[in-house]
Amino acid sequence: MKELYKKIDNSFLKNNPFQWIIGWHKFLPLFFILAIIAVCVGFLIPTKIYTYSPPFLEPLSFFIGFLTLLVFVLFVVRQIRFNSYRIHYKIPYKKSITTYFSFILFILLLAIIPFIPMEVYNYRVQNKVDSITTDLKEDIETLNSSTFFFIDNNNKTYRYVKNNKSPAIDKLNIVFTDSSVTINKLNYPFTYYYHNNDLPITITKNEALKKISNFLKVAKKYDIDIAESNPNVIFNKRKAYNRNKEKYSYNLLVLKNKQQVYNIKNAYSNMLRNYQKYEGDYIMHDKYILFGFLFFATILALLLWIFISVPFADFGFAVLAGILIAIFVGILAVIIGSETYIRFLLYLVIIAIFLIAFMSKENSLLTRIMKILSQLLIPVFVALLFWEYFDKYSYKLNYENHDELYYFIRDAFPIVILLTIVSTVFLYKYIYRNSRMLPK
Amino acid sequence: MQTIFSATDIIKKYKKSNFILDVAKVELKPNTITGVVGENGNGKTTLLNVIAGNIKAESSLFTYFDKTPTTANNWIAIREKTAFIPQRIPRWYGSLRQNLLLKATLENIPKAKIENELEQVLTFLNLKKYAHLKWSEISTGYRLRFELARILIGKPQLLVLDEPIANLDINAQQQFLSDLKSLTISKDYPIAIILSSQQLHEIETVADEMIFMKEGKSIFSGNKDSLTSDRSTIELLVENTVELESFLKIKNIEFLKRGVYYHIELDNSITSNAFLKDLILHTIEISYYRNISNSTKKLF
Repeated sequence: MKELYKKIDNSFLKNNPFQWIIGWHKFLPLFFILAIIAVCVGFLIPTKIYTYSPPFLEPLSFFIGFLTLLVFVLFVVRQIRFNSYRIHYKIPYKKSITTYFSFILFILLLAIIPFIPMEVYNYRVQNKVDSITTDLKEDIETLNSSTFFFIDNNNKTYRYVKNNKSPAIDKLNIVFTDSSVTINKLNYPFTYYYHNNDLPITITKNEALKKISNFLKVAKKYDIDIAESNPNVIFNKRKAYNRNKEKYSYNLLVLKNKQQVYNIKNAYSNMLRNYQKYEGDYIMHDKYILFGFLFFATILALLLWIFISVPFADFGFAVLAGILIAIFVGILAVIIGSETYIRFLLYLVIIAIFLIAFMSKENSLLTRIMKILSQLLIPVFVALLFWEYFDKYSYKLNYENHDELYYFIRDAFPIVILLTIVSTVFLYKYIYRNSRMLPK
Repeated sequence: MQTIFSATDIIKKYKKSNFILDVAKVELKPNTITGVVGENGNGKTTLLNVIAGNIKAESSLFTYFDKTPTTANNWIAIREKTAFIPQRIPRWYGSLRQNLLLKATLENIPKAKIENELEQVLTFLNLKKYAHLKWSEISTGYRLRFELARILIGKPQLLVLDEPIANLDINAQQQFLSDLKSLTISKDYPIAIILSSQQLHEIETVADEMIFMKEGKSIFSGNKDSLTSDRSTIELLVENTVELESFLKIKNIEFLKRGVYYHIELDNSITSNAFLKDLILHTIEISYYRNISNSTKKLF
């Protein structure tokens, strides 16, 4: 086994040294093991659709997060040990940018692991709710339709009393009472559509029998009291009203208590409301955390990459300079007060840093620090641009509550992450290669 | 290729310490070893760092491999042919073989030739049986030889070594210097080696050229044979110093005391061998005797 591993290691090293440095052959199996554990945790936790926070999910996610952190530390240690810039002094390996991409990618993969149990759990809850609501929806339709078309004993047709607001027919719901059928507006996306005029639709006897039979099955499922259990008897008892001498309409008023049907419908809408609440507050919140976490994982990956790729002194001074500039800009922002001017100030600082970094041909400490800062400022710059766009975008959509921030993070962070990673390609040569190549 | 490296008027100023490196000329030719000697703090490491391109000198005219570097791309090309071993070798991880393999693949050596290349280097430095060992499992001397093996994989044409034998025992020093000498023998592989050291005699035995640094200046640069003068200079250590000093007074021979050593400059008429014979005849017990007439030692 050890020999086989050595062979794989050697072959990988010979064929793809830049990916060997990353250590995919060591860390990818660890990643999959962690991912499988995370998926298992997501599957093992019992689903309770009405519970806001499922039991054990958070502590187990934290435990998996801790295991991931250990793998992350091992990964970073390897990168420091085998980083091509560190170990071979100043040898210019042009392809080392592929190492950079793999480095960022692996950290992002690790960052996803603690969220896997949550996502698997959410997926299961969603499926469970979907299956329950689908069945219930069909059952209610059966119950509804069975009473819908029938004429009562006095041969009078129930009238549809339309709401004053005249909601669209496909958004209507039927509410049963003892004496009439009223139509109310639905607040949730379940649609029930049957009729589009004031007259009942007539159907054939066979269809009627089938509907009665279905009705009886569903009624039995929900323990609804029914006076008669034989479809033929019901059909014969409630003599069909033959309006055109050919078609049948009939009444299925066999329910002892119509309130029961109403209760089932009510339970269904409660369930939907709960699910929507769950989806809105929990799943949505979860996504917001995931993207936020990935964003910070990208920044961390970037910082670590800079740390392992530039001399320690350059990195230390760059971080120090970054903090000082941030404090300076912060104080100025407080003095200025106006949001527009603060933005203007931020753009000004970013442009100044970029100019100092890339206009000078000198490989001085100042230019090196500014080059490092310019890389770190890319996410800030992209986020700023997105915020400008989002301001107009959110105004158009009239977001008025704190959800706005969720939407911003959900929409902006993936773009910021992507652009941050990609933009490094253009800066890579200047920040990492040339700084190392030129005498100081 | 006439020269691997040449530079004139190398000037590097350090404002805080008020130190100025001021070297008129350095020329490194293929298949030669140049030794840089001098007391501590006289600019040896600074000079080597300037030559290796780690430090930028303020005013100088450089050529590497007959070309003057002006852009980052020029420097990339130079780095591909240059290797620098600092005084403190940075720790590396994994086994020597693994490191050599990584270096070979990063250097784009064709896959079919990698194993052959590795074998050659390991055989040349007699490291085959240690190839599986790691940093923590080897001595300082072997770490240096491992490092040499690693940089030789890239076939550098300019090798800059800062105090490489400082921490080696006498046998390891001889072995390492002999390895370096062997490198310069091959005509197919033109390499210029420059190294600094405090071990003057050991360096002088392998170096073709010497640079003697004093207070940032190169007070001697060239072939060590050019140091030879008509008068012989002897470095001497004896058991009985009173006896020696009275002998020298009688013979009217000038001398200087350098710690426990005596530096004696002989007249044209006295050869080194004759002087030694005379010492023996006067039954002066000699602990150490060396003719340093063509050694930079006499410049200290």
